[in-house]
Amino acid sequence: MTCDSNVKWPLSGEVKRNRKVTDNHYHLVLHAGKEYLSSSPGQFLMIRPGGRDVSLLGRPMSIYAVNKDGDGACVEVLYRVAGRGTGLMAQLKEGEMVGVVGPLGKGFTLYRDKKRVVLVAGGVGVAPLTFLAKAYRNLPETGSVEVVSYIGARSGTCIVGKGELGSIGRVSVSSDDGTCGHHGLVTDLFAKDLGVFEEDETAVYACGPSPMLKKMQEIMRDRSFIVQASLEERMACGIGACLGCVVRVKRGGYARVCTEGPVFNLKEVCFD
Amino acid sequence: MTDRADRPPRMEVTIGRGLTLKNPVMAASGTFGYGEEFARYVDLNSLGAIVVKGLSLEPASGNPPPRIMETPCGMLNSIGLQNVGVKAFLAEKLPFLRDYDTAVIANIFGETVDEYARLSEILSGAPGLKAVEVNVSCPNVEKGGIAFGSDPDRVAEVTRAVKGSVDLPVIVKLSPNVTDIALIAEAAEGAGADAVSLINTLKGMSIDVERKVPHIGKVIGGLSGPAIRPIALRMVWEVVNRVSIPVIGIGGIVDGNDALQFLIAGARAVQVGTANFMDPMATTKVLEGITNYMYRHSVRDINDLIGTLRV
Ligand SMILES: Cc1cc2nc3c(=O)[nH]c(=O)nc-3n(C[C@H](O)[C@H](O)[C@H](O)COP(=O)(O)OP(=O)(O)OC[C@H]3O[C@@H](n4cnc5c(N)ncnc54)[C@H](O)[C@@H]3O)c2cc1C
Ligand SMILES: Cc1cc2nc3c(=O)[nH]c(=O)nc-3n(C[C@H](O)[C@H](O)[C@H](O)COP(=O)(O)O)c2cc1C
Ligand code: FES
Repeated sequence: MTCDSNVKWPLSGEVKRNRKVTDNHYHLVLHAGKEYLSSSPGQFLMIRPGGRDVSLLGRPMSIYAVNKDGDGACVEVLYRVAGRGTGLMAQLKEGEMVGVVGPLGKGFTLYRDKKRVVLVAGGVGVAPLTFLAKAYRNLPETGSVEVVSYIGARSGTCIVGKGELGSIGRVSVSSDDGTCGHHGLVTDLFAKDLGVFEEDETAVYACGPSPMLKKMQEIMRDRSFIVQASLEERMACGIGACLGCVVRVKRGGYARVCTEGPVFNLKEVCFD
Repeated sequence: MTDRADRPPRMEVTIGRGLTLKNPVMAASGTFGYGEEFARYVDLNSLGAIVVKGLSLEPASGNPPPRIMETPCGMLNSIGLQNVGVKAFLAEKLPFLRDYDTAVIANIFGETVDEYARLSEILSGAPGLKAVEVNVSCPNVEKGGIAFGSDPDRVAEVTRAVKGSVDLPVIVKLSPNVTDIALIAEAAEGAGADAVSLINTLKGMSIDVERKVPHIGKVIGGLSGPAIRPIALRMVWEVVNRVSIPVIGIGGIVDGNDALQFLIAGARAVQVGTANFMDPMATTKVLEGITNYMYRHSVRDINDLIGTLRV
């Protein structure tokens, strides 16, 4: 009578690997259910470390990579320790079980007719964009699409994902403190090159903190490029139920980042 | 016929006239969307009831973000009662829920007594709807924005208005932001409420000291989650001792043990709120926990457990 539930979605994953890649940045590999094999770039999962007894909401994390793994999937996440939740994530050990809900949200749109794809990443924003770059590479008909990446971080030691994106296309790097690449913001680095990209042949994708995305929006305001951005907001449920994760949108009212996003057309979002 | 020990215990509870739930575990308003968001994770048929997100006459866009902040063992929210509006609920959301074998309960809020009455009229006779839960934690625009729920006379007025406009059982959901919650419960009972549910969120606040700004856009938010459970339990205890209508316990329930505390204190049913965010399967786990306890203690009927606190 009670709990012979017909639930189709397993809600946990097993830690296969959890390693520090650089200052405060970690790479987590989970074994999870096969439903993750259909994940698309830009989708995310809610990870809840800390076990049963810790009262904690899930933390949204973009999917960095997904591969087949036995009868399930191997799901990878790249994360920066920002506070309590990510601090607990950093302590996860191989073999431990962790609560995960996903894959969630609407991912990036792949434009098959574009000649060039430009990726602009701030910090760990590089994670979903790397997944996206690989998806473009794996499209059979777009073997010739050029992938150009701009990666920015606070400091040279915080730059992640350069090698991987570098194997797919040209990468330019910036750091806020000048310890690596261009001294300044990644958006400025991108803006300097903007003239060489044809608006109708290029799709632009951005992921990073809100101030960076706001800057991107300003730069792209009077241009006709397609610009898709993955937004960050605090989340409680991640599945559209709490209405906690909203952003104001130009058409009026609010949109839920977890279900109507996290990927939005950058021009439709209001940054207050 | 003799009772066999392995036969499933009876879980059915009656919440006032005309509302019988297959088990005492309900999903709390605002934490379970319109049910559809959870259908992938929870067998909705296994729930005693689903209380949907608070409904107003017109769609409401809600408060500016940030709307949520995690706090020790809980969270603050200032969603601002964003909702699709009662008409869209009836046209677009209720038909989905109706197909499940669970009691669907509409949660309503208004800014005037008349709004509560009109909402109730619109919901009256809606196929598949089993009850109305009245959220009185909202500001009363006719009385200078003071919450309806903090004044026994206003609560009685709203209760009477809803009872007079709807042919369904009426549950009045009480605000904990008052001095004597049992007094408010008595007012609801006196005005004809079929049951009371409690508690709604407690007012709270949190500050980002680096930037010297509040973590919540509206500065003050509603606190929920395990942090409020002892307060909620105390209030339920106070109310069951002062009214004779059924009481529904809400506040920080995460597992079977938490729910059992409310039932033993005298609550006829419980609602699971914030726990749904931490684990989408929380309602199922709460029910499992209660059932396991009943097997362990050879309780054949959930009603034999309710109000059995020894003091
Ligand atoms: C769709 C989505 C995808 C994300 N993908 C990644 C990712 O791939 N890798 C990664 O490292 N981080 C990602 N984030 C951000 C990550 O969720 C937060 O850094 C994390 O929730 C912080 O939790 P905490 O408990 O460690 O920090 P807290 O102690 O809660 O907060 C520390 C700081 O982080 C900020 N913060 C809290 N929650 C969020 C949030 N949801 N988004 C942004 N900032 C937040 C706080 O305002 C505060 O300044 C993503 C966020 C979203 C919404
Ligand atoms: C995000 C959120 C939204 C809520 N929305 C409503 C609502 O629309 N109407 C209502 O009566 N209560 C609402 N509540 C209150 C809950 O139903 C519940 O009374 C409260 O959260 C305490 O229970 P909990 O600790 O289990 O969450 C909301 C709570 C949260 C956390
Ligand atoms: S996080 Fe709950 S609605 Fe988006």
